[in-house]
Amino acid sequence: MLLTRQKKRVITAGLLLLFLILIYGIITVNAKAVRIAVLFSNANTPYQEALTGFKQYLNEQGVEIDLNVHDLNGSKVTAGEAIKTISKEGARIIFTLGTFSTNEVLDQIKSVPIIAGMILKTEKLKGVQNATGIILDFPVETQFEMMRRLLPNARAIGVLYNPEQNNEFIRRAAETAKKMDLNLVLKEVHTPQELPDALRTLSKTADALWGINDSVVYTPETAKHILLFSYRNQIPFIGLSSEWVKAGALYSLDRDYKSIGRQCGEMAYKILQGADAGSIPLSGPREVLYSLNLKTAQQMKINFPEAVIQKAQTRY
Amino acid sequence: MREELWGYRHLLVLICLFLLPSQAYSETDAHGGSGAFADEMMLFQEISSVYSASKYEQKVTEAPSSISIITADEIKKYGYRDLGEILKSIRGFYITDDRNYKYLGIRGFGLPSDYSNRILLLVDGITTNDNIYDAPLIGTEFPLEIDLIDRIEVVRGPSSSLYGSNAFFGIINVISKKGRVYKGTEISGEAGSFKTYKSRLSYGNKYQNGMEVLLSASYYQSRGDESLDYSDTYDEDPWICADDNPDNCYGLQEIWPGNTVAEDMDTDRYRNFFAKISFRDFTVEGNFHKRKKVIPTAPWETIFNKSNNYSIDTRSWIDVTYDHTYANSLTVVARVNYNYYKYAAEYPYAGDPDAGEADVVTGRDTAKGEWINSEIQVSKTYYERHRMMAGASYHGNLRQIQKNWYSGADTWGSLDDERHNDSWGAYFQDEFNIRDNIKLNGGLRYDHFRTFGDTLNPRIALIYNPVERSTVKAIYGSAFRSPSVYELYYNDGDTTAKANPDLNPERISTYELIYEQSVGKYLRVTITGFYYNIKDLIRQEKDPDDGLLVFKNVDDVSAKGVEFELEGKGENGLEGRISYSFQKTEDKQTGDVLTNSPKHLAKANMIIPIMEEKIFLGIEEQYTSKRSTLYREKQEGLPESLRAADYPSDHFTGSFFITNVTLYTRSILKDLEASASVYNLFNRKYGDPGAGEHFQDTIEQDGRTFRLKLTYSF
Repeated sequence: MLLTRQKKRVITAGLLLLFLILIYGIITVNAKAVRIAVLFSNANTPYQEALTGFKQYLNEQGVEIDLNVHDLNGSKVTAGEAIKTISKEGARIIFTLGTFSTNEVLDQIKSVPIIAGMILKTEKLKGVQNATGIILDFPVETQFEMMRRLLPNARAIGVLYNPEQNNEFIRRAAETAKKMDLNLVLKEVHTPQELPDALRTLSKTADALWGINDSVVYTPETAKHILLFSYRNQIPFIGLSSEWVKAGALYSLDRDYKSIGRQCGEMAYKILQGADAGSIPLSGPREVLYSLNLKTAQQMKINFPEAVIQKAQTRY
Repeated sequence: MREELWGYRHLLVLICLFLLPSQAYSETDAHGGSGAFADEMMLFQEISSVYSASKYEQKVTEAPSSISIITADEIKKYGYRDLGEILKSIRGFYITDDRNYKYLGIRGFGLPSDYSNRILLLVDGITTNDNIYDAPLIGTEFPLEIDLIDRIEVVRGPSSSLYGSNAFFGIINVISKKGRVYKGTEISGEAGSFKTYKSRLSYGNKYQNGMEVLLSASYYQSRGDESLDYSDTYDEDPWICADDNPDNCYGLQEIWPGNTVAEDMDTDRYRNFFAKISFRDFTVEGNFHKRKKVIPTAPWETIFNKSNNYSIDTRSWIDVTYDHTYANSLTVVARVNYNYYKYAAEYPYAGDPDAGEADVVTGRDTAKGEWINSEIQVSKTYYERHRMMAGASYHGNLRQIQKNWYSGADTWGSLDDERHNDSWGAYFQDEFNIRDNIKLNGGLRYDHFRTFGDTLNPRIALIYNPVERSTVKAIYGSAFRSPSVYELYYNDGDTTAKANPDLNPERISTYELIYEQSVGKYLRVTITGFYYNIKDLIRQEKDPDDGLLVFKNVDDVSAKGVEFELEGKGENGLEGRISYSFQKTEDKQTGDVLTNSPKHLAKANMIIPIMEEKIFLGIEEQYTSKRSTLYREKQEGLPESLRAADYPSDHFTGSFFITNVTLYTRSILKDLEASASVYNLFNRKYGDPGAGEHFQDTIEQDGRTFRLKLTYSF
């Protein structure tokens, strides 16, 4: 059947309209995908797990995300280049994983909302209007509650710390400890060379040794000394993480890094809904897990109830 | 020219290595990042397990000497029964047992009749060497119950720069367990071959107020080998000449009346009480140990197979130690201890009734010592690079009594000697971190003895880490041993022995080069080369003028050797070590190799987990090469007509392998440990050289023996 000229015009117009709708649809869809820059301090597995949780949460909320991932590998040069790229290409949110990447971004970007995931120290975030985050450290109350539960007979808790890094933290912890019927036996360590003497002092007075986030006291070189001290003196060491427990610490509180990533995703979603990053309070891990070293427990004649053993995330 | 260039190239490489920044102790991480970057890395980074590192602490690699450590865990899993068995497993060490005492030989030096007094034996820092013989006791006479040992640190090389006299070949520091280890009561029982039994009751705990207590009591008895056959010796019929008089010589068969089997003459028993209380900076420790051993070998020409042939050693101490680290990192350790030692022996001799003597003349030998040791030591780190230590000590001999008399023979000589003297010393040591990978350790000690005067002893060690996990140590040290009051003043009324108050101290200079390398995650290699030179060695010999035994400064001795050790410990409980040592120890005057000096020692130890954390198999293999005996020396004391046909040949003990096996279990039943051990598994016949007081050229040791042990905690 021959098409009349009018019919041809109608068909052409219809196709053109369809094409325009299609183009508009593509543009619109792409316009909905949120560009998020992700900066790893380095490519450690916990960071990867956190990112997985982050993506998962936002996908569940129906948010399309366009991730721009940079592994800084601890290099300031790489960090500088990544930040330049982000500034050029733009980002709706910057998600940093680890202290190094967080610090680099905070120094240079003031206008884009920043979610700092997996950091230990909060000082740099205080008062920053465009940033929020998740702190890896558990509240002191949570840590002491676990101590009372797993080491009910321990009252004198030895703490090694560098005053320049942790003076304020220790002051607050000591107050909390008192309320919870614990006594912190404090020993200042200004350099790693002071560690042996500090440990010798604690050998006489401490029922347990509490590991805190302190980069002077807890280094790869000092880890061996501290664990050996714990082993030789039968003073259980409360480790910083599961890796420490594997190496010989009695127990540690643990984090679910994927869950932490999801928490960061929640923060990102709130920001996308219109909240200011600075108005979202910093928080810690929602889930409190723990690891046990049963060999250390046996060696120190510490008997954990069966229920406590079963609930441990990891048992060594 | 080409060789010179080659040499310069090597020198250049060495200089570059010397100047390389250290990688071993850098505080920056591998990325060269800031501390902030390192923060959460401490959560994720793999940490070396303490269970594969519990022996390889900083102390071993950074110490200015070659150190071996034996832990309580190893003592259980290898089934060691006394300190001598533990020391025998250590690289370069060997034991001589004359069925009365055990003596320690180190790096080829272990002369018969020597009381091992060239090694300083400490328990919790308290010197256990007595003030009569200066002897460390290491068999069942060792004053601390073996089960109370937490670990033993063996420091080789002269250590007089810190410890003074007797730290000649090194020191052995035995550290007792803390009360907190027990968390209650522990009861243990053992039964073994030769009707050997031991029982122990211990209690230990740490209380809420910080006080820590350890109390322990143990009792041991053994019938020993109830039938020791010395017919070989009897058949050889060795001769001796009384008073060096060729007209007064007699063979063994004259004084052993055809009876060559020592029956029920090897019994041994001890009891031990130990108490340690710690509170804050103070520790009070008390120990009492009394041991009686019947002697089957009939030494000193005593009547063979007579039961009143025994020795009793009693050793006790009470110590108060103050140990505090002040806010400015100044550490002060001060201690004072009172010590008591008593030796009592009975020796039955054949009397001459025709001369109005009893048939059996009983010789009684006693020695009693009381002394006080006090010491203060301060240490502090200055400018982050100097770890300095200074100290002073005072040793006051309240009583040094030696008595000897004979019942049943009025004309036989006697001894009644009492001395009081003292000594004091002051020392200084600096551990200087020249760079992060180079450390210089220098020490100097001055001692003043009322008996012989002053002595100054240095030690210097360079410790270098060329690359991570490698350590090279170059060490020079000198040490001295003051003559014991026994060597200076013992005489039995000039019957067989006389005094020599003019003895000078012995001196030793030692050079050592040590290389330590960690291999992979679990292994460590140690290679050591050493050379030592002893001047004025004190030995007992017969004075040709009067035939009396006397101690003299007679010999210069030198020794050189190499030691190799590979040790490893895995996280699953598998651990082991294998060592070989070669040493050549000779008298510089005669060129002769010293008596009782093995050229080769090899040891292999392995702990195999059969069931993880519950059942372990401990296997030990020890090789000792032949050792010359005193045979030729004894022949030299005889008139030519009485010497053996093969004079002047040396006689040797045979070389031997010994295998020990222990099956150890724990946690099969809650709070119960059990072990079953077989010693000398293949029932090898072997012996140790006899000393001057023995007719036996070689004293045969035990064949295959067993032990079962149960320990229960509650």
